[in-house]
Amino acid sequence: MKKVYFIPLLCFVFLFQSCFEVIEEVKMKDDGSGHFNFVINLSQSKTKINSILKMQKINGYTVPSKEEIKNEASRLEALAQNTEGISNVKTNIDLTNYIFTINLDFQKISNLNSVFLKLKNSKKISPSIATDYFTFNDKKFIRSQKVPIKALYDKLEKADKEIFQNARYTSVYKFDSTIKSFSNKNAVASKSNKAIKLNGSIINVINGNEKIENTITLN
Amino acid sequence: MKKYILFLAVCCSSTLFAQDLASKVPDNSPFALCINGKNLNEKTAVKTIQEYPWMQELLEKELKFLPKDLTQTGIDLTNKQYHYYISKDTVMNYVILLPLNNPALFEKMIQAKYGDSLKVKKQDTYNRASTSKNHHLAWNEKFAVLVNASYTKPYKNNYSETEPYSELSSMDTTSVIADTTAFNYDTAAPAYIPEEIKPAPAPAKTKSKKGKNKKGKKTQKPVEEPVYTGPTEEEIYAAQEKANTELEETNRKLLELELKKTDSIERLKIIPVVDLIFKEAFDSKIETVSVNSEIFKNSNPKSDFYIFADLDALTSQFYTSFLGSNNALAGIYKNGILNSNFHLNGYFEKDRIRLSQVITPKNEETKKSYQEICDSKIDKNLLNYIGGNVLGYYSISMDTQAIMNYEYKVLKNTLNSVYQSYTKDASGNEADVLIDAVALFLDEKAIADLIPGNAIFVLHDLKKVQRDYINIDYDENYQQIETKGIKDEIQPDFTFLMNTRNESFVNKLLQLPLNKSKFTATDYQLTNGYYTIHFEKDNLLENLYIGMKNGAVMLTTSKVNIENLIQQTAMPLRADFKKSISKNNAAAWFDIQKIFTVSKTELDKDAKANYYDIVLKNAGEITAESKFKNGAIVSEASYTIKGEHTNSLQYFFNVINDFYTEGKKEKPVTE
Repeated sequence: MKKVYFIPLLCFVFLFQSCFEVIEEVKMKDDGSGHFNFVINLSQSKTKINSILKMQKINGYTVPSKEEIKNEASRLEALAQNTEGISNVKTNIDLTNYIFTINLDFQKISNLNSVFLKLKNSKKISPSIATDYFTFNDKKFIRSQKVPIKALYDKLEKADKEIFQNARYTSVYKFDSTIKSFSNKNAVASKSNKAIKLNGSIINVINGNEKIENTITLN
Repeated sequence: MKKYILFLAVCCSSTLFAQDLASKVPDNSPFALCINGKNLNEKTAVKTIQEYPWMQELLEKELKFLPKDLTQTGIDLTNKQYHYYISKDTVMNYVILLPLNNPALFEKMIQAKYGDSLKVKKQDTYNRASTSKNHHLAWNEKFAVLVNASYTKPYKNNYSETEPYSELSSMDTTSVIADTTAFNYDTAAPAYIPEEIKPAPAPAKTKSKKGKNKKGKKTQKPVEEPVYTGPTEEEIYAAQEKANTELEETNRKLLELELKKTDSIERLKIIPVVDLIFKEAFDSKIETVSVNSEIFKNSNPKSDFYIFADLDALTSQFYTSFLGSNNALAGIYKNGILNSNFHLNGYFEKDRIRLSQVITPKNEETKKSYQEICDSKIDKNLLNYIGGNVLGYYSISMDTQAIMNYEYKVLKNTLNSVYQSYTKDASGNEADVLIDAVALFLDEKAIADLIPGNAIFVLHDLKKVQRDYINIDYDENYQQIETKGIKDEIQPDFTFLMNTRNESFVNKLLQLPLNKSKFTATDYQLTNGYYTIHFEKDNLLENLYIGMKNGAVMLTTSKVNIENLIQQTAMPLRADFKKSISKNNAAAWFDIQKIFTVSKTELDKDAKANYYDIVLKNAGEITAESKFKNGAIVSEASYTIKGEHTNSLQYFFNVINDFYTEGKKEKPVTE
């Protein structure tokens, strides 16, 4: 029997076919410290979530209660807070609009990767899945994608796969310095040229038609 | 899809003078289909079909082997063609009988399809050819027989192996052939014993003893460092690699042999069966035999197609073909729905497609059970609280007590046969005790009083409701901005009605959630004689009303309906709905066009607008009715077409053409 305890915020994603958006924001300072903001916005699907929350199970997953979702968020907050170099961790669980947010500050970008590693270990996710998604060296910020998402996606049941059809992602990286160049052609720099945004469809990323990797070189 | 279209196209014309092939359908076929080319051709001629652009493209690209003029295939498209299924010696055969008007043209078409590699053999009175292991055809001057034969070696149940002679019941000729062949191999071939297990020759006396003196004292020799003289690590790896390669090669050969064996077993099985089918079909003596009375006795000459199925024979033959015979499941066929004959006449009428279906139980006991189950009329009081706002409904009226008694019988038969197949000593009545014990605990009459078996579900509307949501956007410097968006969603409006003769119990049940501090996060209250479940904002439903009056229990989203029930104010209902629900044990009606129209909000997100419009323009109404009449379950279903079409058959071709035309608009022209 499958149980939905893998971060209910994310697990909701596996529960229904509908619209949702994932936002990943990193604000890098020149000294290597920064701020991380991650949002899952299920607001467009709130009617369906309200219906799902009245059920015991869906697609074979146990549906968590609102209380369980809050508890899981607190656990996640504590896990991040207890990571070296991480401070000001704050989660926000909006159970009216179903928007879930986590904000934290990091001293070094590697501290942020450590949070992902801790999270992975706490969930018994395969050790082979890498968690060092971000690097920042010599005015070069790199967002890598090392998770075998296609292989993971292929293992899902058909009903679970369908939920990704309309899902969107947005990544925004902000810097103190202006951007000199970037590798992902689909990304767009801001007017100030100190931020870069990339958005697209999650299913395209899974199928390899869109890339989320980006190497940004700063002036 | 294309095959289906071709299939329809092939069936759409007829002549009166050609031979009727019904006599070629064996008496024991559990499934038969007759396509009335004459009637179909009168509705939509083959010449009309072949002029559709989509058909022309098919003929040019996918179906090149067919002549441009479909009347020149050599197949007499102006006569009835027959299909049947039969299992012979556990080989499953789907046979098509096609009348011919020009065998030379037919042969030319076959040659065009399969090329010169096709070998046509001349038999006594007919020609035959095989296009694959499974596909065989034969023809004479008057008709052609197409056979799709397949054979799957039945799975052996482990439990049956423990029973002596248990194989006999499920044995087919292949098992015998295969086993005998295996035996011959064993005796003919010299016994092969692998080197590894050959008895080792008697060890020769070694000189080692010489190293010992008679007293057994070992001679003292200077201790030498042991020197490893065996293979190196590389050599071991290389040997291992070689062994693995050899093993893989051996496995591949074994698999190849196994496949060849399976293939030849299949051929051994299939060919004699196909030979027999051809022999029977072309036997001139059989032609004089009158048309099979049981299979075609209910075929209406006015119908466009007719289907017959002997349900228990068909299902048991399928089962046997795939899994071998299994007595354990024989009880399911006894006195159940499958112990019946099924026939259906289909009509492509001017404004509707109509299916007239009859299920006739084969024995009196089953007939009696169905009669008892269907001996029920809908509680007319329920019809007073539906109202005029109806997009669709489904009603059912059956006797719950009779259903339960019938289920006991089916369960007894099934479990007894399962038990008998496992245990030799079983008398066949063991399950009776168990089921009777269950029946003792269940009070059928009390259950039937609570739920007598009359119920109606009505879909009133699919309302469009607006929901707001939060969108996260970015300004020019990528600072997050939260904006509010609005989207349309569908909210169903429905009523479910059933009757009860035990109001006191239902009342207690409805009162139970009252005064509970928590009722699944919703409000539950009793006001004005009915109960309201109030859902929070942004839920699929806003309110759900539950009430009961004079034996009618209602669950609805409509406040008007629940209040009318409580105040006993009758609401008008369309006369034809009222008649259909009252006169049948089951009735349904759905206005697909209206449902599509109101569902547009949800559907047009994914569907392309133009395709949606085609569906919307042509979607009609579905009506279905079913009742017990003259010892059989008689059902009528119809689909009323919409849009401008000559008749309901041409409707299909027109809709395909609309989709084709729309698809063409989208494709960029590359030539």
